[in-house]
Amino acid sequence: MSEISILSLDLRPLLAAGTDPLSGVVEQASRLPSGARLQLLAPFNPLPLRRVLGQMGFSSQAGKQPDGAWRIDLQRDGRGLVENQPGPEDCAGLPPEATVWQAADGHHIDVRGLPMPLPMLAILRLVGGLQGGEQVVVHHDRQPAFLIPELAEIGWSLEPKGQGEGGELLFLLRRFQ
Amino acid sequence: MMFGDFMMGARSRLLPMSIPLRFFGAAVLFHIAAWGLLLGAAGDAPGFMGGLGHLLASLHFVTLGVLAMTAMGAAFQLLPVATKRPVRSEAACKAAFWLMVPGLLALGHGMGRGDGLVLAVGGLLVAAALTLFGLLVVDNLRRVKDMRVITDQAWIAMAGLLTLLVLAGLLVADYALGGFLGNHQGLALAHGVVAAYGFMGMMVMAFSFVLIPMFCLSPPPDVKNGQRAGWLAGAAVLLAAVGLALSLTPLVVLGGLLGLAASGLHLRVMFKVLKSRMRKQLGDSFILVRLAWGLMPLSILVGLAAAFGVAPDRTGPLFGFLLVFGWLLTFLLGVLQRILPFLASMHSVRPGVKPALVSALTADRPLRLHMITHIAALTLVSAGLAGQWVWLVRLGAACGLVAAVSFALSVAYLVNSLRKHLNNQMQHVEK
Repeated sequence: MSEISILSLDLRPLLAAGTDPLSGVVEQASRLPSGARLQLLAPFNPLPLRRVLGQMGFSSQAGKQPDGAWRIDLQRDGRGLVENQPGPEDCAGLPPEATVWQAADGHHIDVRGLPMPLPMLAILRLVGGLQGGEQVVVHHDRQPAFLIPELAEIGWSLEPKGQGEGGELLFLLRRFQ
Repeated sequence: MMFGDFMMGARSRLLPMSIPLRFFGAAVLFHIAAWGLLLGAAGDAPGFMGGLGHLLASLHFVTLGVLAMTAMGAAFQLLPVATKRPVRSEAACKAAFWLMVPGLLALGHGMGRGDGLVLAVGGLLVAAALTLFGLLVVDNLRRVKDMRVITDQAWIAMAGLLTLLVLAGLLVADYALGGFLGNHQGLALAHGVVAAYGFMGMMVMAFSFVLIPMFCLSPPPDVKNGQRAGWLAGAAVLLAAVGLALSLTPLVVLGGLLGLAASGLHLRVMFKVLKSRMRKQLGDSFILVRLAWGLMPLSILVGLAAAFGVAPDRTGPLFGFLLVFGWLLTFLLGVLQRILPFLASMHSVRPGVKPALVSALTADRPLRLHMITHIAALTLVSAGLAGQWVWLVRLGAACGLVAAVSFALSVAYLVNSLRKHLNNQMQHVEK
C-alpha cells in the first residue's frame, strides 16, 4: 500500500513579516500528487488561499486551535470542497468572509474570490471601525469602481498600490487630508 | 501601477460619462413627454382597450423612451463593470442612441396621428437600435462564466427582446399594410406582456441582483431562489403570451399564476437582502422601490381579473397602467434617484482629489417633490381608470407631469454640481 504524503507549512512567520504566502503555498501544493495531504497553520482562517487551492482540487477543513491559531487540513481529492466557510448570513460584525491581518504598513484585507458586493461590505466594515491615521491595504481581484463613492462619502480615499505577490491588485485606503 | 494606469484600467470598462448620460438625459425628457401625452389624452384613458392614438404613444414613451432607454444606458455602463468585460464598441453604443431617439419620435408621431408609414419608419429605427443593444449585451454575456443568476435573467430578457421585436414588426406591418392579422388585439396584448414582463421585467430582476445589495450594503442575494424566480417568470411570460396570441384563456391564467409565484419568490429574495443590510437609512428612493415591488404582483392580479372578464373595460386599462407606470416606471425612478449621483461620483475620480460626494450631487427637495407627486399620480390615475372618471385621470396625469419635471430638475442640479466640482478639480490640479 502506498503511503499518503503529507506536507505541513506554518504560515505565521511569513505573515508576521508582512509577506503574502499565497503564491508560495500554491507552488508547493501544485507539486503534490492526487490524494496527498497538506496541513497549514495560520493566525486566521485563510479563505482566499483555501478557495484557490479548492480550484486546484484540494478539499479543506479549518479549525481554531486552543492557542488561537487556525489549522487547515487539506486533501487533494479532486472535489475542491471548502468546508467551515462562513456564508453571507454571518455578515454581522467584522467581515468573516475576508481575511484581515495587521502588518507594518497597516491593516490588510484580502477580499479575493468573494462575490459582489461582499468585498465592498467587508472593506466598509473594516474602515468604519478604524480611528486616527490608520491605513488599509486591500488585496482585490478587480478594480473596485463601485467602492470609491462609498469611501469618499465617509472621508476615505483609494489609491492603487501595484500588484501583490499572488498577482492580485493592491489598493491603499487612507483618510483624505 | 500608477494612478493613471488604474484609472485607465477602470475606464476600459467604465465608458465615457457622455454615453450613459445621453441615454439617461433622453429618458428624463421622454418621461415628461409621456405624462404630457397622457394628460392631453386623459379623456380616452377610461375604457381604453388598445389602438392607435396619443395614449398608445404615451405608453411607448414610457416603455421605450424611459425604460428601454435607461436600461440601455445602465447596461452599457454597469454590465461591463459587473462582468469585468468591456463593451465591444463605444461607437455601437452611440449608434444605438442615434437610432433610438429619432425612431422613437417618429414612432410616437405615427401612433399619435395614426400615420402607418411614419409608424413603420420609426418602428424600424427603434428595432435597429434595440437589436444593436441586444447584440452588445449578448456579446458581453457570452463571455461570462460566473454570475449565473444575472446572466440567466439577462438571457431570458434578450429572448424577450427578440420576441417583442418580431411581434412589434407584425403589428406595425398590419397597420401600414391595411390589416392582414386575424387577431391584432391578441397579438398586441402578447407583445405588451412580452415587452413589459419578458424584456423590461427580466432586466429589472437582473439589475436588482446587482444594484439592490449594492445600495443597501447587503450580502449577495440567494442564488438558487433567484434562478428559480427567473425561470418561473420566463415560463409565465411564454404561457401568457401564447395564450393571448391564440385567445386561450386557460394558458393566460396559468401564465399569470406562474408569474405570481415568480414575483413572490423574487420579492422574498429581495426582502431577505433588505433584512440583512448594513445601511439602515435607505432614503426616499427605496420608498419608490418598495412601492414598485408591491405593484408587481398587483399588476398580475389585475391582469388576471381582466383575463377572467371581470369588468374588462376597467381592469384592462388599469392593468396596463399599473404594469407600466406603476411597477416598471416606479422601480426605475427609485433606482435612478440613487444611481445617477453614484455614477457621477464614480466619473469624478481624479488623482489626489476628493471625488464629488453622492450626497452633494443629490437634490433632496426636487426628489422629495417628485416622489410625492409620482405616488399621487399613480393613486389618482388608478382610481380614475377603475371608476372611469376622466377628471381624476387628468388630475393624476398633471401630478405625473409635475413629478417628471421635478425629476428633470434634480438631474439638472446633478449635472451642474458635477460640472462645478470638475472645474474646481481642474483649478486644484493647475495650482
